[in-house]
Amino acid sequence: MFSITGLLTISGILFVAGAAALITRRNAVAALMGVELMLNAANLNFVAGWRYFWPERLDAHVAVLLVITVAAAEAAVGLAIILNLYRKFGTVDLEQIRLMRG
Amino acid sequence: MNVEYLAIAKLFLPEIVLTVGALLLLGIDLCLGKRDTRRALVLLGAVISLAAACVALLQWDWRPAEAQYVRQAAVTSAVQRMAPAVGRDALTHAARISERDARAVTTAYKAARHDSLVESAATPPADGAPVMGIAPYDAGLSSPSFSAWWLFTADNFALIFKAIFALALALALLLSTRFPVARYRGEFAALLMFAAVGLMVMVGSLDLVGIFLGLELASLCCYALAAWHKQDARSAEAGTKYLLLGSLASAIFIYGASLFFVEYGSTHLHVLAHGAAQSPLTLVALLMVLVSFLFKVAGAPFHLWAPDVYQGAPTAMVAFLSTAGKAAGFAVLVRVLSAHGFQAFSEKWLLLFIGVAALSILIGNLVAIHQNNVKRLLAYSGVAQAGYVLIGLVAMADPAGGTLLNEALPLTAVIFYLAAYMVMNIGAFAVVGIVGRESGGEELSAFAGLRARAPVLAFAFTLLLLSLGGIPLLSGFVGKWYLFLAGVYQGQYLLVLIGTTMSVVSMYYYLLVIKQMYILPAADGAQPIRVGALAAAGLAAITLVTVAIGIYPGPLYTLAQAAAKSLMP
Amino acid sequence: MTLVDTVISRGNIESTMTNQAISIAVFFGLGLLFWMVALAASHLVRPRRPSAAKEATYECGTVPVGRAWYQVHVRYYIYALLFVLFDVEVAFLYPWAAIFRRLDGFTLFLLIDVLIFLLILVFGLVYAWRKGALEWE
Repeated sequence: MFSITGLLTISGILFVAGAAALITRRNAVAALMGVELMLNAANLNFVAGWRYFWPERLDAHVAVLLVITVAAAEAAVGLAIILNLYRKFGTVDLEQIRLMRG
Repeated sequence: MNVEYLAIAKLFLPEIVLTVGALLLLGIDLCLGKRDTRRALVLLGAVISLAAACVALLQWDWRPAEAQYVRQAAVTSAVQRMAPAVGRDALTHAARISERDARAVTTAYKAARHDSLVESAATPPADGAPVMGIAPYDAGLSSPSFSAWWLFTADNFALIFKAIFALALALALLLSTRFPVARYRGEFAALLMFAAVGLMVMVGSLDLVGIFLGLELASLCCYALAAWHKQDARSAEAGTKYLLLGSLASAIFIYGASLFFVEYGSTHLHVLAHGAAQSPLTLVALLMVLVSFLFKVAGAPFHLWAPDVYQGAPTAMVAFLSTAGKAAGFAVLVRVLSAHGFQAFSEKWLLLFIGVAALSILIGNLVAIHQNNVKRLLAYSGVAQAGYVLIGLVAMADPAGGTLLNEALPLTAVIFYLAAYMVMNIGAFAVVGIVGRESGGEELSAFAGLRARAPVLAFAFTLLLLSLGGIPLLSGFVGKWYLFLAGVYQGQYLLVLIGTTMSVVSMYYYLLVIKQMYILPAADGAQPIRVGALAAAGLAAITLVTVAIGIYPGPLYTLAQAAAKSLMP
Repeated sequence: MTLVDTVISRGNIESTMTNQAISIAVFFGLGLLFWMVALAASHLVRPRRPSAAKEATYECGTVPVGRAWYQVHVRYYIYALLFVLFDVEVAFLYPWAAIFRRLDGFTLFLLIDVLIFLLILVFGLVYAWRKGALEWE
């Protein structure tokens, strides 16, 4: 049913999808969602590694908890920053936000 | 009980000082309400960070290097005995570590108790008790101080960086005394201090997850700080760009760490180093970890965020980020690579580093020439400086033997340069901040005629820029000298050639700024620039130190060498 | 032997995993079946006399106003943040509670530890409150 290969593949797909969203999406909030996907891909790796290879090592649980916390904090700070961006520019379209060049 | 606290506190003294200080600052800010207390608060923050720097230096381990190896050797031998259990096939062979190995851990810990950092006694595992895993709580050593000792360190290498961060913080806070937004001043100072705490956790951590924790603490504070100027759209843009690209780097890092966990069942650096098998998964994981930190230090081609963030973000925060943040990134790179070095991959990461170093030096210096904004110019110059430091990192690897760090010079040069760079770059940003505030912009033209408007400021800026460019008798020259020397000793002639040539090129754009200040006349109606007393004191200290290190580099070199040696087995 | 021990005992990983997957599938199938049967039965049994009031979207008895797609006011955002903050905090308290009694000799240490942790969070909450971040405009 499940296998370590499958889980690692899923996490790889999640990671690549998140990175693609982060890089290509024009909406800043969607890009931020990409970050969450990437962090959760890492979480999936930790859990899969614990489940299939290292059932005695509880490091994975600690790591997953910390990553979840960090993801929450990042979403909070990120949304605040994007809100600020919206107030300044009236849009969260990253293509239109180009004051600085060079 | 108290011993436990003591042992843990000793690992985190500067961090504790800073955290308590920052909370205190916020509390005072809250109690004062709307009264204008901006200078006093920031001054308090600077004093606290100076205290943290003193604490870090007071913790300095003055014992001879051999005595300091006790901990390192103990951990190494313990992990080496467990090495057969490290690797994926451990599951089928011997996932459970034998009692003998568990005793090795206990012996290691007991030996390390002579290390001044750990004093509490841990209960050794009872005979016959099943012992699983490597992590201390599995080994029956469930004392909290043991866990802390296993995951964090306060060796000289970490301490010198903690001192660098605390000093950078103090200078950045002094620089922000006349920061335009009065209402949130306490929060600005507190966020900077929390960022410094994050960087300190990063350099003191021996586990990738601990590094991630520190990295995120620092990054989150910096994202908020970058978007600080609520009235300035460029600041909002800088914050967003830094947020998106910075979290991309963090996510890549933790994904690499999770791949390490799949392979080794741990993210502890010593375990990774001893289990370094030549599997593709490990290679990918290692590259991900390294690339994310190359991103943090803004080495080309991972530097694209730097110019925009530097230009839009508040100058005080940029001064801190471009020095302390960069130093922390390099510290972690060194820490990861020096954990006995991933020998199996030394050619591969060496190649990556050589490429990034060459690209950084070339792109940083060549693009900086065309910049019209001094903050952007300093950003590209920072990319180039990261390239110079990378020469030192490349020199850490012995191309023939595939081993690391059999000589102290490269790492000493890296630490020396990062310390010197911290001082001079913060000074440069201090001047840019003052001029930008008084003349309303950081364009090159804002510096025109600075000689007449603020002669002392112009003189200090000239010295600092010349030091960044690497003129003899200033600290930048000495630092580059050591880096290039280390590169030559390791046979990286091409890289050193690029570095020296581009140093000459860099003088061109530094001189462009100096030309603005000394030769061109001031714009019509330009006012004389007033410099606050605190900022003036800080700037004077910075300039003096830059010159002092340039003339007499001995003490700093000794300190850097001691820090470098504490990493070597 | 607790459930966790059963789950992580190595020989059984694959089989327990498959068993769990099967039970999840069974629940999913039952849920689907229940939903379909209930809807189909009511469709067959009930009389059909549509009117405007009956066609309207059901919103707990009140009259629906506006469209289904609208922007949530940004002030909810701060509450969402606070929720996330304390939500994640609880995630840390569970493992703490799980090992609290197991670590003999360190219970006081653990207690003070978690108090420091909570104190910092409460400080943050008080700070946000006093700064007026919780005011409803």
